Amino acid sequence: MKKTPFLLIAYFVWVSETRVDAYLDPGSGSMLVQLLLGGVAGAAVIMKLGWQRFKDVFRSSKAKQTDPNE
Amino acid sequence: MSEIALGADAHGAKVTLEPGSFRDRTARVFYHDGKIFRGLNETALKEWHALSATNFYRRLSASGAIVPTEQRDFTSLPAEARSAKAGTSDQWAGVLEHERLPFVSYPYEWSFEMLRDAALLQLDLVLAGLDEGIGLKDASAYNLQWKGASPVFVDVASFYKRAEGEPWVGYRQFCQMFLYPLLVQAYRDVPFQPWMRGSIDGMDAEVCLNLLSARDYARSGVLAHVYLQAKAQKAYNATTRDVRKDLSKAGFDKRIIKANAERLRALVAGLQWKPKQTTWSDYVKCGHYEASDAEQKRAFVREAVHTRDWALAWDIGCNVGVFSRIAAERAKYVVAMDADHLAIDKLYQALKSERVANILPLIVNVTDPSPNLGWRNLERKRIDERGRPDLVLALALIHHVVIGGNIPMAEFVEWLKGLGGDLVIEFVTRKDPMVVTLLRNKEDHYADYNEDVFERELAARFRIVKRQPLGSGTRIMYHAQLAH
Repeated sequence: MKKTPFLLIAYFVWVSETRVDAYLDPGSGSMLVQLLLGGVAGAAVIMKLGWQRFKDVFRSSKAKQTDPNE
Repeated sequence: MSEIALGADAHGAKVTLEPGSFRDRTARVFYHDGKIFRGLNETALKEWHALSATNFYRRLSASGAIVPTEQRDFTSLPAEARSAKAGTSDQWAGVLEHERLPFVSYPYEWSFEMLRDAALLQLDLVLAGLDEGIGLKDASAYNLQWKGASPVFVDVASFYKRAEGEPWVGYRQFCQMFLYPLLVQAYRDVPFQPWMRGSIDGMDAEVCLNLLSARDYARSGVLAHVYLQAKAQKAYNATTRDVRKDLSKAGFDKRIIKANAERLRALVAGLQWKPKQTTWSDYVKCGHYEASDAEQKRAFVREAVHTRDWALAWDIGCNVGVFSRIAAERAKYVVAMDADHLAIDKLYQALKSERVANILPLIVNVTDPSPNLGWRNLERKRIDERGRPDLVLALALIHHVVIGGNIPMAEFVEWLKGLGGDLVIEFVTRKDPMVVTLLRNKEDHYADYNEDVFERELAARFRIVKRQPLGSGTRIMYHAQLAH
């Protein structure tokens, strides 16, 4: 019983932090690749992000340069 | 000088910063009075309090997977140790003390199986943490060390409370420091150690892709982790979009990390390196020794080892570790070094299955030992600055160094003296078939390679306690102590 308040405090202190104090760049491309490797849950996020936009990531840079819509 | 001096306490015990611990600004490792500490800022201290209350942490530190760590009252530490930034009055919010590991090693000294086991531990931490809302800020192979043949995660400041929607921050680094090096060795038989030694951040996706062949695209992991990641990194290199925020909004959740990490785990666990047999790992089996020589040699080494207890022994040119094991009978810790990757890999696997905790196998070429590397050449230390041995075994080694490596005899003996320990060394005479083989394609420029010169150089620096020729007559054993 004695431990409960400490654990509760620790929990609230911790959840008040919303974003990692990041020093490492996870890499935009690498974050997107994680979706492909993330099974069903990853596919769901890809759908939400929009398949077209996601596909753009993997197009060649040459095709990108000549695309007037870019 | 591989530590940054900050000052000293009232008793003269120095406070030094670990020069390799600067990337994560929320914490920093320093040394004081032979102990190892980690200063934490307020954010890191909160993370520590929360982490240390989880089952995840308790379970993994009890099992030895995470280095034993205690929070210390740092008011007893000298002011320099309490300061977060040298020369300012900013203080750390808290200080942790870690158990000091017997010998620090780096991924470019590990064998394939060692890097693989370290990778599996890293993935296990990612997976186990997910269930309790814990993430890892990074996935550096340098965050893992060894206690004998068991990997230990040492950077407790890497753990943080993962917010929902956060991707796996360390995924790219995991690939660069573990997956790609393992893939090129498993699929292409390209040793990863020179790449890791050449680049402190490991291997880029692009470089890994260039090392693989078209055929490898069909092999596990290559298309997704290497090809697609290289492409995606290129395409998104200069994006101004906040991909992290986009992903969070779109509902990125931990199931994605779990699926990816589980598949990576299966991939890494299934990787195999199938090398051709190398010269030295067959050495013991092939019997370069007469049986009676081998027996005499073991008895000589055992007698020298048993003259007293040793804190740290180096077995240089350990092969598959027969004599490292003898050294471990009286040495608290043995670093078993050999340039032969396969010999070290076999030794590691044997030690792992026997759960030996006091022999650390490392790939080290004594004629090209690990140098100081990284920022200011201080981030990673040269091998002889990570712990000086009080006992050195150099058995069946000298002909490789002097003839094979073209190192002058006097310089080699001087280097051995510089290590600062007792020496058990085997001199292999010119009559020995191994020496004949080494000389067969070379001009014999090795006038210094003979018994008289060796003994003279040895006696100039050491006191020879015992000398014993082996029965076959081509090898001589010496036990030598530093002459004071």
